[in-house]
Amino acid sequence: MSNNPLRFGLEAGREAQPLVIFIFGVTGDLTSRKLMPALFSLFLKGMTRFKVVGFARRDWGTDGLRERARSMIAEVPGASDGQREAFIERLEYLQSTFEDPAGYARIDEYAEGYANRIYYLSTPPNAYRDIIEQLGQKGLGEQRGGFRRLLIEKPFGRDYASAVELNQLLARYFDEEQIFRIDHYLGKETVQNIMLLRFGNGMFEPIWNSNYIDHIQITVAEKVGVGTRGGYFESAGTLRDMVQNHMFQLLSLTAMEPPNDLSPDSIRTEKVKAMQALRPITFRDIHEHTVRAQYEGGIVDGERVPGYRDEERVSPDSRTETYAALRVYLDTWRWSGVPIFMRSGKRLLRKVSEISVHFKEPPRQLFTNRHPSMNRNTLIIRIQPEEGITLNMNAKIPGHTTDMRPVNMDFAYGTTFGEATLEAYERLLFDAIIGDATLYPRRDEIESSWAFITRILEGWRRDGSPIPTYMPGSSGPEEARRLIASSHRKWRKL
Amino acid sequence: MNFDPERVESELAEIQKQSSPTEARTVILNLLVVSNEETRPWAERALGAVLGKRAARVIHIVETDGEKSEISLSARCYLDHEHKSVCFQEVLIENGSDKVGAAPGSWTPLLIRDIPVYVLWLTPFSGRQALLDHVQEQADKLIIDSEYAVGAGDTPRDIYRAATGVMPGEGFGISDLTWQRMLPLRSITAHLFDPPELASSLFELETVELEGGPPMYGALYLGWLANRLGWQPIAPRQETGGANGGEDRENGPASTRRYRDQQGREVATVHRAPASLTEGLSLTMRFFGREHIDLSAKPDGCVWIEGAGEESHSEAFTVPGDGEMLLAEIDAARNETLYIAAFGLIAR
Repeated sequence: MSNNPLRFGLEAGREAQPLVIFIFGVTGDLTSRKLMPALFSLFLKGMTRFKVVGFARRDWGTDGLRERARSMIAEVPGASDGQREAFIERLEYLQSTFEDPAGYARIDEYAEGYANRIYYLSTPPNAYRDIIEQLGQKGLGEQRGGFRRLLIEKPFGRDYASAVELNQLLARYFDEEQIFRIDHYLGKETVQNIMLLRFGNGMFEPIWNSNYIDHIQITVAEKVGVGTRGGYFESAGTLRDMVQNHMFQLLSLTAMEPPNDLSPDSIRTEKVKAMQALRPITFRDIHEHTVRAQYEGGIVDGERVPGYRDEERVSPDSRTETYAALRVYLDTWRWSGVPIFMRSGKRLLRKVSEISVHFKEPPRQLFTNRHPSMNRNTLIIRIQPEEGITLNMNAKIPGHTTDMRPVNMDFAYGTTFGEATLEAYERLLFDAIIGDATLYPRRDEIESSWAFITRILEGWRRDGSPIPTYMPGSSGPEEARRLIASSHRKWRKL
Repeated sequence: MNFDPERVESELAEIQKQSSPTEARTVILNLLVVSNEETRPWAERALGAVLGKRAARVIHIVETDGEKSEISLSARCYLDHEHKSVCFQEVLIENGSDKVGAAPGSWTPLLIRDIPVYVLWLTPFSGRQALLDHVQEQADKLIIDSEYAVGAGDTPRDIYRAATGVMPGEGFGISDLTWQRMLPLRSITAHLFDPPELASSLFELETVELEGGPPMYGALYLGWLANRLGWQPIAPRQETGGANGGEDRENGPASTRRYRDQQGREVATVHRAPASLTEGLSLTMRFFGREHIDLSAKPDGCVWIEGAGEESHSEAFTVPGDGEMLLAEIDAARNETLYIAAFGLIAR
């Protein structure tokens, strides 16, 4: 392709080669909500030389898939009827169970005329083994005359052992460069912006270390409860559902060293190094460095809401946490002695995802007339809502005195770029299609985070003490306040 | 209202405060638009597409037939998905025969310092060198539309001179909306020759015939193709009408350009029956020793491709809107050396 002189000046290195995308579990919810609209949007943007083959058990047939796909893409704006039909014509259906070798035997036939393939596992995790083994045993992962890539949705295991087991299974049939593990959080613009903020501006990196930073807080708070997901959440909990994946991605992007370049492996290697520098929290330390809790029943927005143990498909004596807070340390030169506080929970005061970097006080405070609300300088990277960046600093109050109060320098995506950001799945799918794995966690990244989290899970499993609770619509349990207060800091207000 | 910058700033601030429920004050770019009575609606449509997407100060200079220059101010704010206001501060200068409005001293102080200045130039170049020079001094990027300029009486040579005259400086860019409008056709053409079995055919092209599409669109497309394939122009032959055109007995006026390919063979590009893009276009690529490729773009947003190795098939083909292109140009940091090279071939 690089010999094509007409390519010069077009988006170099980001062209999609012709390919077939096999979606396993195409009849599931993810396909209609995310995948089909994302593929159609890419089609409208010029990624046109592909075909999608839905692979599932139900008796849909190609006509059935096409009929349903019309409604799946109905909400995508700015397309003509002709374009919608041109896309629909690219859809085919291969009916098979995930266990049936006969279904896999037909994959080559469906891919005829296309050198490249993506296998997208949009199925419950319990189907992964069958699909991976069938693909592998049939040699469908072998890159003969084109690429074969496997996209797999989280969860990537439920503890360290199961993550390693899944990775070993994958590695039996696919090289690591063929495997794309989707954590849709990494597809968010504001998450990607963390790296740009840190390494695209000269002013931050010199002070991004323990000499100037007092501590960091990472918060992912939700206002809603578990709702209809009680069955799933019972077996997961906040630590698995939010901390191990999304929050550790935020942590590693915040704490990583500058990569040598922007290649996927350079970036991912630095992220892994940050993860590997986490000081382990063993079962003996869990009371000192972790808090878990469950929300109680109460009133939110004037409505009565159930407590976690009263939610549908939740055990009345459940010990699954709906709130988790951690104090972690990275044992590196850069972060030596800097505590990083992480908290995530459901049914909290409001929905907030943010990273706040709290800088140290000046070495000598000359101005003693301080406003009661005055803070250390804080840089807040807001993921949602109101995506943007705020720098909180102190300024003189006009008048004869030297009184100060905190003021904000604010950058809001909303008031600067007034368009909806790219749907995370569209960005991630396109990256996988062109082979850019930057936004996909690598095997060692997954295993490092699970190694850390599994120790805490194990500590909590052994711990028989009662699970603390917190009021719905609050900032979390009292134990979390005490956790950070023991370091002489306090949480940012939610 | 007079052109006093302090008064303008003060009134703009007040108007924006009234327009924005959240009192947004962010501005990330200056957008200077130079238009005339004919292109004013076009400019306003394009600005409408940027409105609500980028917070900007827009200074729009319109050349009018009036005697006295006038200035008026407004602000428009749109709520985004998070109910944040994204605002346009708008300064409309109607430049009369007194020439006060277009005088640099009238509009330059209204540019906000320390943020980029983009200039959308929608008036002929001829006779406006002084203004163009001053714009060049202020601008980070000049955005033109050669299709309009040719229609308004500029020759490709005038435009090329204007474009290359302001091109090379450090941190300065030029962009042509006609070139960007043609990007989907360039992209589809490039895709055609990606498969290994077709890659070598590219160097066996004998003629490329484009039917439909506006004149500069066609000229730039064919100029781009010739440039990328290393074709060298040869002197026009009298009997064919030469580089500037000829008559095709069946299909009407045609612009034919002849070149020598890298193997010394005579090859040609033909643009016939120029028309609006909304009417679709068709492209035929003939080769030495290979079946031809036909590509037919229809107004429904699809292009039909035949003879490109695989079965005939359709692909999406969307010509970007003017506002969409303006937005892309504001965001892009593209190197347009390829545009200048392609333009150089057709401006001879």
